Amino acid sequence: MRRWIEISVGLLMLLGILGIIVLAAQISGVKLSALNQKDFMVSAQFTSVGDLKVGAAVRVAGVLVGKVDNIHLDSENYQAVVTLELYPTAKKIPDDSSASIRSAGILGDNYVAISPGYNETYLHAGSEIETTYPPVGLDTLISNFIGGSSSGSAGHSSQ
Amino acid sequence: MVLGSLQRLGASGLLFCQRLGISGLFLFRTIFGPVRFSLVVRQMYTAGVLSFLVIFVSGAFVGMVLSLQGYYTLSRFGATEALGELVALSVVRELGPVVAALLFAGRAGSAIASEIGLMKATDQLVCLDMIGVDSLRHVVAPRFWAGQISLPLLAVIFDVIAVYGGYWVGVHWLGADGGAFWGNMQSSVSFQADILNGLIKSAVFGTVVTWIAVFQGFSAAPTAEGIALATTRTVVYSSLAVLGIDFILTALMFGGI
Repeated sequence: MRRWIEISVGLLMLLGILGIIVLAAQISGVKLSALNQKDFMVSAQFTSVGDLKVGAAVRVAGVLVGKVDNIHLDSENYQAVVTLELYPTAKKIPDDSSASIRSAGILGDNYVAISPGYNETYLHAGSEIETTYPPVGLDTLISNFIGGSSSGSAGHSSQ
Repeated sequence: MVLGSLQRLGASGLLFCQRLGISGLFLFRTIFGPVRFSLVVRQMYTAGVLSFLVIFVSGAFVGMVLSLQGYYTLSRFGATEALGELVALSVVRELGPVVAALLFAGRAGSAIASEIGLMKATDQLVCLDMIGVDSLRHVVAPRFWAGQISLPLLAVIFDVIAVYGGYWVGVHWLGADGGAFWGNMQSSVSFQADILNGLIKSAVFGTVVTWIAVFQGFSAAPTAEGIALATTRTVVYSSLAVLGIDFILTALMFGGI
């Protein structure tokens, strides 16, 4: 009887520990290798980052190639410096590519989209993406649409 | 007559403070005294293992109902891919720790209180003290540590069962997208902010529920109605304390968001 008591208590504790592992791995998506050695960092300066958050996706043609590692303000030219952590699958992105901040769906979260360029030299650790486009806000689009349709010309400002 | 009512009010307030102080000292002596591990294991069987069934079934149904309700509300906005994060965040942050604590208070808390109360009413505690066995160390402390350790484990099991129950109903029955269910959940549930905070909550609830149960049993009047009062008070006070402390903890942990 005593043995069964201890066995069942041990089983309960084992279930609890397994539960925490499942919570970590499956429900919160904690990856065992937090920083893969082969990931490399590139940076890009934006005039505005909109709602971009740390941890947001970086995609090329919609495919996930990395994530946003850090966002801070450059105190000299008042631009937002975004550090992107790119996975090894992104090894061959030309270094004249452009980066823009888009949103997944009208109410979706912001992510960084990289449009590949034409150079034969590729991004490596420490490169900076020169051409960047800030996000187009929904309010700007609406005001442009209203302003454009009343004056007869569809103007587009990248503000 | 006014003075009489004032006197009664003041007396009850002083009695309340007195009991609070006694229970605080009681908790201090329970925690900071030696305890035998084999006794704790035996009590963990009574408090933890025997509560497993009610936690499992309740967790499954809570997750399934949450998924069912959530699906119909989210589908009005075309946002059913957020079902996974709805179920997971609700369960891990709030429902898991709180409902598991309420069920634990009802099942194990009342059992502990009535058991200790009966030992007091049948003079067993007095006899233990007379033969030199510290009743606090042999009767109270094992039950306290058993409850303290079991409740976080049960809350974790509740969380996992509820999420999988929600998955089963949402994806396999209602037709939500399975990939989006887990994918959105994983990107919105943070281990540090959500799961660890849920664990901290359940640990705090474990302390509070077991403390109330053990104190009510130990300080019960040694009569039949004294035991009955102790048992019902355990469940009522534990439930109120859990819900109140949950609000405070949520404000502290998640209020900054």
